[in-house]
Amino acid sequence: MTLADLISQPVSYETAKELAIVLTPEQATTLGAIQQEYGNPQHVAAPVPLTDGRLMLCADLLTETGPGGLYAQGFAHLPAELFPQVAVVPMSEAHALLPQPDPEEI
Amino acid sequence: MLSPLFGQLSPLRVPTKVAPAGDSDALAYIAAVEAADGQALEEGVATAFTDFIVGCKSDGIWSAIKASCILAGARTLSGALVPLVGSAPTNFNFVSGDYDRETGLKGNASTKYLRHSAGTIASNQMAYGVWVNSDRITSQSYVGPASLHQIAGNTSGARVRPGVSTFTQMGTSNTVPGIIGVNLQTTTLNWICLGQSGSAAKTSTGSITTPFFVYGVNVNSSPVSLCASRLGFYFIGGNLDLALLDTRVSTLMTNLAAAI
Repeated sequence: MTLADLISQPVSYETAKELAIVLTPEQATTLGAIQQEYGNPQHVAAPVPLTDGRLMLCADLLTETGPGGLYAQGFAHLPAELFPQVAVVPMSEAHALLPQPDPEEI
Repeated sequence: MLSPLFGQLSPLRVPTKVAPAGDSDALAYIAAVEAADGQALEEGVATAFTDFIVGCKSDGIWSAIKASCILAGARTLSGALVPLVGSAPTNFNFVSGDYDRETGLKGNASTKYLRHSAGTIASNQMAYGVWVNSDRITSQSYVGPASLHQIAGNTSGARVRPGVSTFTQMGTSNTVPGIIGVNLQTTTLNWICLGQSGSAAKTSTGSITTPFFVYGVNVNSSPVSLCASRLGFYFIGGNLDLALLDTRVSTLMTNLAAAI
């Protein structure tokens, strides 16, 4: 599934929180630049790195991209041609790629 | 001709809500939450907030709190992120669905955390902690400004790094809700953890200048060891009596649940 598929119809919080938006480093850079220019600095969509070099966001952010949403300002400026290129996977799949050091190890 | 007092003292004009008597800090906080929510709070919620702030002042612990949020009571996530004192936190990736105004804000152990700066705090005059409402963690971290200053979960109780790499165990309780916090004062670490308390020797010195991360720990400006707990409150500041704060937060959470 891609981000374009996911946003083609309304998605509930319960559904979205079980999905991860996976970004390449270049896509994450684009997101960061748009967030920096247009986003609300108090509510930041910030992808976290995965062990395979990609980055991920929880897809429940999409519940806040409509009018008045916490992340609406930045999302509105994302280039639409980006959406079919962004992968969406089950959260369990992305979670397995998260570095999860025990607090003793950091 | 209309009276000059029309609209101001008309007997037909009834206030929609009686403001709780009180305290300027409480009134300012409630007004800011209502502005962020876009509507007024219930009188019971406003009274719970006021009683908490006034109570902390009467306990002598209010002025020690430098950065804090009550992550419950407000109608919206934006309202819950209004700072009780100090600057506002930055929200990374939380959404409204993560927030329950009775029970707090839930992390997801992967992407969600808050960043809150408390300025410069001497590490031997520092207190910080969280109110865990549910989803107590057995690993990961609740809060911390650096790898050597963090409160982390454990299979029972919790553990803290008081400025050194060795963790100090804080109790054995698994019972939530409750506060997990530390007070680092001169050469002593006082802790409170889910109904238990204790102390240990500490040796760290220096100052904390990095922002605290809540729902994880700040390691070189990156969020690490994020947790999935549902938190109702957090505090960062100077030395204070943890037992008094525990009692105040417990009462606050009970009163908020009753008022909503």
